Amino acid sequence: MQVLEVKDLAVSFKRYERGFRQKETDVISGLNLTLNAGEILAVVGASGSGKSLLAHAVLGILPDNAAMSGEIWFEGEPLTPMKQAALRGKAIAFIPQSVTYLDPLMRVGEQVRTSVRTGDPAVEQRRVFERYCLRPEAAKLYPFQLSGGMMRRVMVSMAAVSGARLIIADEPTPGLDPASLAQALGHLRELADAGAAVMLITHDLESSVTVADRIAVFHAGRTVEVAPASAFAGHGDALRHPYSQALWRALPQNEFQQIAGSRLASVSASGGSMNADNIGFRYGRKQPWLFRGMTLSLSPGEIVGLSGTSGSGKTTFARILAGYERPFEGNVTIHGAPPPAKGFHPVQLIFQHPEKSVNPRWRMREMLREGGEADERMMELLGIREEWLDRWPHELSGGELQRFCVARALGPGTRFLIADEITTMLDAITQAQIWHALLQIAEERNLGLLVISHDESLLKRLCTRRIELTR
Amino acid sequence: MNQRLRLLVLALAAAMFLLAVWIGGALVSEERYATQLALRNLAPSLQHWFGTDWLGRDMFARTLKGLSVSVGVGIIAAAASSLIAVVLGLAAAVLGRWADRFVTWLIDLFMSVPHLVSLILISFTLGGGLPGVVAGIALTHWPSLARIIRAEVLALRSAEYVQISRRLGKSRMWIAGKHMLPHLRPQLIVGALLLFPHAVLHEAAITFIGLGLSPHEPAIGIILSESMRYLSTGMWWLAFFPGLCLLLVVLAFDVMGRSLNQLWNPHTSQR
Amino acid sequence: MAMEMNHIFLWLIRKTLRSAVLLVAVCAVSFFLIKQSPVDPVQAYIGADMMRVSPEQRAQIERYWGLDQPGAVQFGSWLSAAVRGDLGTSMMYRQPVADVIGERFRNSLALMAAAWVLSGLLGFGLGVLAAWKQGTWADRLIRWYCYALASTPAFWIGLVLLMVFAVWLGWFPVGLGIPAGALAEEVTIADRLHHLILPALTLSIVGVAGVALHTRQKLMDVMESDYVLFAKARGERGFTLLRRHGLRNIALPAITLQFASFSELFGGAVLAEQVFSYPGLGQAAVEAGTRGDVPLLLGIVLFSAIFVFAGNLIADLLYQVVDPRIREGAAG
Repeated sequence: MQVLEVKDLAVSFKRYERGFRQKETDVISGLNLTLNAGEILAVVGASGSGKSLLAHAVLGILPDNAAMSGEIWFEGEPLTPMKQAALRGKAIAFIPQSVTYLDPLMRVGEQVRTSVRTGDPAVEQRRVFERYCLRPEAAKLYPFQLSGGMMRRVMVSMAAVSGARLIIADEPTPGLDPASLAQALGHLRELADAGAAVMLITHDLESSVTVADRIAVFHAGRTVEVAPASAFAGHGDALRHPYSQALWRALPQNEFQQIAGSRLASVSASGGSMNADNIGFRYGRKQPWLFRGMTLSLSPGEIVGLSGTSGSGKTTFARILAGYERPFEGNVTIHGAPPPAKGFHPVQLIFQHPEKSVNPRWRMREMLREGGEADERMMELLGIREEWLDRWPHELSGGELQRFCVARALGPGTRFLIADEITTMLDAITQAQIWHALLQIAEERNLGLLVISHDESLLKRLCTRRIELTR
Repeated sequence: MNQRLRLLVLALAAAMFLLAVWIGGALVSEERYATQLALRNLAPSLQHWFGTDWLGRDMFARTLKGLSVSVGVGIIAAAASSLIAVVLGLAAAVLGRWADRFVTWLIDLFMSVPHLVSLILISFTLGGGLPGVVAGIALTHWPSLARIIRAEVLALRSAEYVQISRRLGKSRMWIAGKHMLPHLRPQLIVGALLLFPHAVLHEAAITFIGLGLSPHEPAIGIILSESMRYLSTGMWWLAFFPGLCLLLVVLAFDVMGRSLNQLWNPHTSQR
Repeated sequence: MAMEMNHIFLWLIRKTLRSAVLLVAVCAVSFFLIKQSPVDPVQAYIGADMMRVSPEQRAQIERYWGLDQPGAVQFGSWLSAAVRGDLGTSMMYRQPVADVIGERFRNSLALMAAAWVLSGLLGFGLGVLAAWKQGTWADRLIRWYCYALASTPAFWIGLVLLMVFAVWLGWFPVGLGIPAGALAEEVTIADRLHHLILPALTLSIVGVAGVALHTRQKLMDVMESDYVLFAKARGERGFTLLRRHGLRNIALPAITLQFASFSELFGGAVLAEQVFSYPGLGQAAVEAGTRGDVPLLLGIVLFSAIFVFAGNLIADLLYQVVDPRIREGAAG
């Protein structure tokens, strides 16, 4: 039975440009999809491409400065604002992505109880907590006390108790490790098997294929193709649109390499290597150790992968190596000597969130110049377009910004590069392009590369050596 | 006309009004409000818009002059206060933990006594008059602005792009000039502007209680405190108009500060 | 639970110690400032008869008051006396300073309490209304009313109220705390209230603006938060939404703001009392400053600092005890 139909949905925003002109930006220009009861439809698109707005549009909670056009039909009837107001939380439910969506001053049990639509709230809440393996005492906790996994289960239970027939999950798996990822997706599968229609909005094509029945590929504001999950296999020949094919092939476990003949760099023992000796770190003298006894040696031309569960200190370790933090014990040396305290640091670190790594009041041209002269060839390799140089950071997407961050970190003085989950939030095509460029430049300049990621396929693609950091 | 344009127009209009008051008042010559015993106690009329007082002085001229004095004193005091706030706020954020602790303690110290009580104390110390008023206001208003500046600079120092800049080899001075200053400039201007209304109000208040400017100056505080004596005789215009004009002047400063804040603050600049 | 109480108790001790140090510093700075004043305390005391006092008599008076000692010693003796509760004798009132402050504070307290409650409730209500009806004419009206009010000199409002209600309409007395010339036994509560109303109103009117604007801003921030968006997505709306998520999340900031605003309250009281010649602590402060009554001025500075500290302490304590993020985050 068809539960949802979206035809020609378009959403645009009014933004202020520099000065006083207001501009209308089209975020979604043509989105079409259908969804049936009992199935999972994944809407896959790059982060920040506006697909979350799809959820807000269906629910009727778009912000005031947004304009919407197109048609939405729910269970065969047009979905008017009045119907939306009546059905929100009852027939249509929403699963948000982070703990900021929960009222910080209300215990989670109470918040779940307020979502119950049929039956006794207290009874339903206890029942759903049991189903999702949440201890009964957890109901008395406040959101800030929940672990990531508990928080996701609480939010799923809020959708489950509402008895909704359409459930929209917005980026439910942001940067999760494989085990938590499987569990979160499992919950969605259960909901679908119980009869609900589930829409999964995500940037992660890889995991969508494992759980969804059909996949809608979203690119540049439009739905490019809707295909059954089974079509995403092998070479991607069953897919019709070139973009979906490129997206599928760009995944690291598939072909990944766009440029033919690129091979992994061989280890050459020239120049000094970077050595981390017995590094230990904690936040204060009375705090527990985050990690101890970490020893790492990275030679020029080597590509080492570092993985580990969230919270195990990978980012802190990376910061210590790049000179952002001082270790509590142990030291870092480059070719036997400690790295310089001032001036260009030979170990450059690229962060996960490019929006925080650029000064919002600088144009991109200035930002690029900060790392040294902008190399035309490097810009071409990384896919940085000339016209982006005059833009402001907020006008570019995460993927575009990250290309700039990579370029900035590849100054003439760089000997070693640490990439901390730099493409985790990006779509597969951007990810492939950035990594191909990085590998090429690293090989030419004989740089040592430390790749931090939880993406197994990516690490297998790139690295010669692997290190695991466990708590 | 969209919201942004409207804010700018508002800010400009307020600025023009203030400029007119300040310059207009400065240009009023003494004879305009000289004693004219023949014209005593007149209610507002076309010749005397704000009426005259018990010495026959034209209230409009007196008020305008008084406003100009208040605005002038307010600006000097607010500027002095802002300077102290910037220096101490920056020092706290940049010169290390001990400087930070000291300045924070100093802020707590100055904020532990109600403003008016401090003003009375400082005025007493300096024997009243203009120095007392300016010093008093400068010393009581810097803490809140210093706190804001300190918080802003501390947040900037821990911003990722600032830390990256350092590892790219840029010196502290370079970072301060290129990264931090563009962020701080609007905050500073708005913060200083929003100090003015308080400065002017407090100047009028301390003068009103008799510990501020001397009675020879036609300051608004003096005008209002003197009017108290004649209220029971029904000469309402002696207090009503001067106070109303003071209200408008303070409001103008406030409007300017708030409009610019809304324009420049990234959180609200998209509304 | 015991862990919590222990933690809060320790925090209280630490806070009180810090405040004590600050208080001593306040006194020291004030003492130092007063010493620099051009006002001659001996002259202020004697007044017009100064001409007839010989240098030897003057020196005698100075010795009696200890004014011939170095500044630090004077401060030391003042401080040790103050800790015992003896703040010296007021020159104007010829009474112990502590007594003057106590009596005057009782009057001011009535005034400030009334204004505090009134401006708190009214301000909160207006702020919530403005945020709830954001963008409508009601919001704009309330906002501009508050902006205008916040820019208004408090003493001018007092004068206007005085003119309208006391002079023209004659509903209320023109000044003082009790009917002029009445004997102490004849004064009733009703009389006191009658004299209290206009000053209290003056103080309230100005206070409302700040509270309303702050409440409005905080509530607007809450209504635009992620969790309110999610609540809307779950079908919550209208008054239930406001009550469940809005009010709950701004109640604590609103109440703590009230307690943290003791400083402005005191300042406003000084002005209101001046306009209405209300015999409170504020008016005493003005008199002490104008007439150079050093012991009283010092005592009032100390007392007002204690008053502000008390307010801030209660505000912080409320946060510690009520906000679960702080309460359970610490114990856990």
